[in-house]
Amino acid sequence: MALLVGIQPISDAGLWWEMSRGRAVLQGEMAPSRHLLALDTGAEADWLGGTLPFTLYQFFGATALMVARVLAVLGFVYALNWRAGRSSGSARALLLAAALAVCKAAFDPGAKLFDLCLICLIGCWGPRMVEPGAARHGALSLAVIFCVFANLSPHVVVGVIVLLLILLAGWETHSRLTFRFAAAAMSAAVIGGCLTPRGVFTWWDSLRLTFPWLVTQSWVLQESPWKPLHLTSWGAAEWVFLLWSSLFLLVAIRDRSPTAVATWAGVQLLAWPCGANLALAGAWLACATASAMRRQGCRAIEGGADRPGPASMHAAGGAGQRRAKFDPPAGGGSVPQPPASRFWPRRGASERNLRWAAHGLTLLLILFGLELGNLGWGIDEQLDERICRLALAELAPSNNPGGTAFCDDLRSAGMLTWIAPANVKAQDVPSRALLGSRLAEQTLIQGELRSQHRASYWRDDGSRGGWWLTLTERETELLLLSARDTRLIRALEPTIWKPLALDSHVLPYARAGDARYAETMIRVLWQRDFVDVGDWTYTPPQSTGSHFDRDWWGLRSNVDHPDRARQQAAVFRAMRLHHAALKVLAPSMRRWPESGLRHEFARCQAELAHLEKLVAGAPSVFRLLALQVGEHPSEPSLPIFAGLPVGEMLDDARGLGPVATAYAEGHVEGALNRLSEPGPQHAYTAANLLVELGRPAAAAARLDDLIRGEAPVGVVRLAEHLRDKIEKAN
Amino acid sequence: MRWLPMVSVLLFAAAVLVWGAAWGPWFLSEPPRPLIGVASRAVQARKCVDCHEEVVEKFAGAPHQVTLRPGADPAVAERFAGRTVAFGDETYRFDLDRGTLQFTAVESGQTATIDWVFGSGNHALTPVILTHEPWGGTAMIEAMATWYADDQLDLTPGTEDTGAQMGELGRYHDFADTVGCFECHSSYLPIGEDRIDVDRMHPGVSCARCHLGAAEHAETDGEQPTQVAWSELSALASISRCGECHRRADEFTADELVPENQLLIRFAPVSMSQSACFQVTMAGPDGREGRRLDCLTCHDPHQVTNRDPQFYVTQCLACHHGQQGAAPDCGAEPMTSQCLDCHMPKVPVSDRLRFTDHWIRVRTPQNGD
Repeated sequence: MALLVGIQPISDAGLWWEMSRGRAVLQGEMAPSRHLLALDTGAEADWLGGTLPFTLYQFFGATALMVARVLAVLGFVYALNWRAGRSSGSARALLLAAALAVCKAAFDPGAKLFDLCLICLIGCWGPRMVEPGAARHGALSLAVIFCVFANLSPHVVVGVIVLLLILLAGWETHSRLTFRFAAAAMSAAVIGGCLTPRGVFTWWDSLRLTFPWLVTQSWVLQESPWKPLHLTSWGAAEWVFLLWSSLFLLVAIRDRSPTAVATWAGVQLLAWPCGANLALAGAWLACATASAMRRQGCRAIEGGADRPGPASMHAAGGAGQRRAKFDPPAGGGSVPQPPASRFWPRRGASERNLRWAAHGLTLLLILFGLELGNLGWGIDEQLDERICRLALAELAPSNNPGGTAFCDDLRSAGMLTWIAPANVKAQDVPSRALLGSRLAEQTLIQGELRSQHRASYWRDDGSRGGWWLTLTERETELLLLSARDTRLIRALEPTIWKPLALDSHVLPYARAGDARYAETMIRVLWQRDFVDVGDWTYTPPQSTGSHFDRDWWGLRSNVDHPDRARQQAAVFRAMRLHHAALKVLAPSMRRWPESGLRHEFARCQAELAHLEKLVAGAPSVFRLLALQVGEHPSEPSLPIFAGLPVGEMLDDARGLGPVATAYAEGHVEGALNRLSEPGPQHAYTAANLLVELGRPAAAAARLDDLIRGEAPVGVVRLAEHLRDKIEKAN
Repeated sequence: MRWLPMVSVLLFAAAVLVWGAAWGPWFLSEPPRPLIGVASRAVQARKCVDCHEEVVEKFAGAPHQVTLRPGADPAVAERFAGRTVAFGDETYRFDLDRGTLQFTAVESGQTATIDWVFGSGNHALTPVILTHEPWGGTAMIEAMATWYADDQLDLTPGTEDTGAQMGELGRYHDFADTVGCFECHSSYLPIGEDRIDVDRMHPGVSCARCHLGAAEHAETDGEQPTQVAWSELSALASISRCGECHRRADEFTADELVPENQLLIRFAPVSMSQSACFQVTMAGPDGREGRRLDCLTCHDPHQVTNRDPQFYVTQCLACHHGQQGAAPDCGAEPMTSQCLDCHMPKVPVSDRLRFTDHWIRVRTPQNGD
């Protein structure tokens, strides 16, 4: 299980940001964010968080990051397995599968991984550190751990909460834990956490990042990475967490354990208002569950009769028994309340049945919770920065007066800071904007770009809106936007911002007229025409052997994926390059007929039909048919059809039905071959198919014939429109 | 001690509840909205007339008040109805049909109803057709033909540059573009789910559009003043307020702000801000030294446009009066001549449109004359 989770490409959106910070620190900067960001002015507590991933990547490449990931997963599994003690093997397997399913997003080297490891360390070994016997070194160990925690990752406050519950659980078990020792342990942790460049404010920063809803308005968070769990897109991790939490609460109530209830409450408070904390909450829950299982295993050994054999004999007379006595549950797991507090039945048919059920659940979790389809080695292609780097490469450092870049998310900002074009600084990243109370403004600028609110206007809170002035005041030279935000890409089309690439996962935009990017801009303008109505045809990407290709160590040459094709088509559609989008979709639809590509295909057809209606008063019959077979769910209610005699138009479309069917399945060449009848609608259809096959000259010839012939005026208008487009592009 | 954790949880829950009660409204707040879309801030001139009768009566004929009217408005429709215009091979025709203004591209056979007409008529009237985006958002088509002040129909300005082809009804504007147009031509613009609620919209620029806080002012019977006293604004702030619709200089790049740029002629506040007259009066420490020069110096937005050139010359002579400390006299013509002919001429921006160039300067062939 650990290997299945470990061998998945690095996909943390913060990877480049963490590595940029690490690079800055190793270059001598103690406040890397201030060095990298134009708007940041403060120091940061977790300044060392990026040094390890950067060092690994710099000296050993992406392989080292993957090895670190695998080792981290193995360590996590080992810690939980050790903590669960001698409890049932099937129960432990189930626990590990659930923990991996919930925490799988946090194993990439970086701040999230440090958070996970240190919570796991405190949750699993914390109870040992606060044992009365360990009092001499416990406080010092805690101070060191929290010092490391605070300097590496931002959620040190969670560590303190976990520690507090461990101490409370110690009291609950009536151990010899004294208030004095507990106070010393907490003080050591708090002081250790203050030993950062932020000093005592480390705790305030950590609190704000862990519980952002305490100090930030909900509308800001809903657009941010810290949106509530119920507003995130739910996958296996969320469902497993929900079920696991419910089970944990039931056991805690059954055992009448206040500490376990408190742990459950803490875990929920961590995860639900802020979905970004899910992995952290999962790690805490895993430690608490493992502790509960350990105690049950120890009680079974103490009972002797239930589990006879060498293990019980060894434990009964050895250190295991003594340890169990004073060993409080991590973060407040289940408490000894024999005989009721049994996490697992110990014998008989019910045990066997439960064991089979656990095996079944574990198998289900492995199959559906661990994302086996995501296996690979290297860095996820969504983090591929090469095209973005190429687009920004022509920036000559010598004549660059500097400026800033507005980045829409952590990945974009990280990519820019990693590529580091001369003198251009990213303005902000979400976490620093949150701490600097700039997140609302960041969100509003993004909204204004999306809604094309360029000019200055007044808002009802008395503030001034409009993106132009804000971006000008920030000396914005570049925009770096996620290719997933197609609404934003669409909104930028009529503006002064022009893309410097068409197929990057993060699209850089520069101002029209900016001499430094003029060459790139002109090239991209040419590319736009070329891909849309030029000779270009889409070829599924092949493995380049780089660490961004999920090629299973070179065993697979084709690294295409339906999501990749869908995203590229959506970007082209947002840029109003509808034919280019359809060129991407056709081969992909043939390869993955059951994927969501047909939906994207239908959206392209609907927008083309809309354009045709604007040009000629009605869309072509071919477009209507393509839309009809394109499975668009809201087809009848589309405004395109308002006032159109759709039925009559389709009745007239004799012979085009099979053409549209083949076309909607991605067989463009086949559709063209089925066009046998003469007629203006057929000729216009043929021209469109030829454009999508990358044969603009043949398409233009067909359109010329159509324009010169005696066709209805609507079809001639459409033909002229397409002919002009081809002529301008070629 | 056993129940200490539970007590802690309860205490924490209580603290969260108290926090929620105190901060709940703020916590659950919505993002700030454009003021023009907030119903509670909307107030119509008929409320203002109770106290400001004279101003409101004068304002009834002001161009701002009528800058957006329904296509069916008889005062607008009569200028279009029954007229045709041909561009290339296509003939366009306006007809009144059961009280609605229809627009037809005759050869292409396309017909649509004119929903709104933009412009006061001082320069032009441009009809628009409301339509939808592919996914339902409000969009509009700016009709191919516009009525001009010389009572002729001709091509709508900008059509040549936008790719709209003959045979189409006009230039298509998507939702964001459409909102941008209506925002400057209305005083209250309710929007929901990407749709403009034209039934509740307040067309035309009325009191609340420029006097922020007019709703609160009216509700408190004048006790609460409006948010901004225009006379208290610096000249730059004042022209920038007008510039929210007529364009602001700070929304242009340096290479656009050059005398040769003929586009600036359409944007009076931008041109004005580049004028030596404006910059000299702004030069004081608080931006209001000497005689204040802004849009309101010459234009009273509450009444019909003054057509008397001598009125504007008088404004020039208020500074250029030949006495000690005054602005310099004209070296080329006697001071009794018409200043505007040389320094603020009317410049053609299209075949049928002429705008006053507000970039006041000594015009030479080098700087755009």
